[in-house]
Amino acid sequence: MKRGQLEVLGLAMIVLLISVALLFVVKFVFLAPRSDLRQSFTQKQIGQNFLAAMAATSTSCQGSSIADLVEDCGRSYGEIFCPHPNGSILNSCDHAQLVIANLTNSTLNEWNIRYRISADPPDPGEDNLFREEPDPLNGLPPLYNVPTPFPTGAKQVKTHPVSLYPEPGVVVLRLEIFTD
Amino acid sequence: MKRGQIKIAETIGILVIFFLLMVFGVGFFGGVEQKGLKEAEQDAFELRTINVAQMVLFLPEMQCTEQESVDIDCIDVYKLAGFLDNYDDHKLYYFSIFGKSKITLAQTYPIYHNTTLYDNFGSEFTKKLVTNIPVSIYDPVYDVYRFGYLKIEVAQ
Repeated sequence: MKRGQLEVLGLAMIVLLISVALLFVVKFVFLAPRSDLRQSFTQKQIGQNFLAAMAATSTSCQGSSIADLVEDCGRSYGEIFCPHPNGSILNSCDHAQLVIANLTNSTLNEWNIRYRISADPPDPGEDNLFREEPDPLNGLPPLYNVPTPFPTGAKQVKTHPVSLYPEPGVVVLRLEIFTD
Repeated sequence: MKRGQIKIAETIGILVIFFLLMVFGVGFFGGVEQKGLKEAEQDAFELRTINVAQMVLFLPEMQCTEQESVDIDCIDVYKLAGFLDNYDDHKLYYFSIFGKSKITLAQTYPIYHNTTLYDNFGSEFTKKLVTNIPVSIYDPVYDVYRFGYLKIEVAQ
């Protein structure tokens, strides 16, 4: 190989190395994902506060709070029955679902947050205490705004346990906020 | 062309390429720095938003308490009324905490009702960030918890 050819080859290698370095810089500096502090804080606060505020909220049914309704719903025998505006009588599970849907409509749905609310019963073998399918007869919407089957990507999960004392066990109110 | 002239032309060519690369490098570095500064500015603004939100949530003037225990993320309606009554006498103090922001308490259940807690937005701002945080609104006289959220708008 002549000397001129060697110089050209050397120059080409230098250009190649600089190009690769530039590509790395673009990838790691310009296209690096930003850590969104506010979004992370907001999602945590919303999840935590929503469950706590929701559980404490007093309903129009015998002065019960949502936590009281969920507690009654998780017991083997329910004692709380609530009148529905359409004249029918709802059990504690359905009335809790009706009020929670009301709360989510003015907050999580309005803020376009993708979520699912469920209540894990004390017996691990049983399903969610809330209805997963809409009940048009009593105007009960499902407590999620994501397509089913539920997304499997990143999500934040917040829980709020409701004791069934004097019966053993707890019902766990669960709010999943899907971030992907 | 003589050999000496060729050498000079070669040197000039190398210098031109060197300066071109240097200009390109300085421009590139400047761009990276500018982007970093903008991100730092945005981060500082977001941190201020978080700070204001935390301040509102932990404001003792409005927090619910029960037998000396603080119920976090809950606003007592009577303390809130007291806060609103006294706000005008302590405007400067609250400006030092909340700065250019607007804080609204929106009750959504059982009935809709909005209360502005603080409004010092001014007319000039380049951007604003809105943070919504659900809270309980407690009426200790009737022992009733209502549901709502704090809407915290911070301006830059």
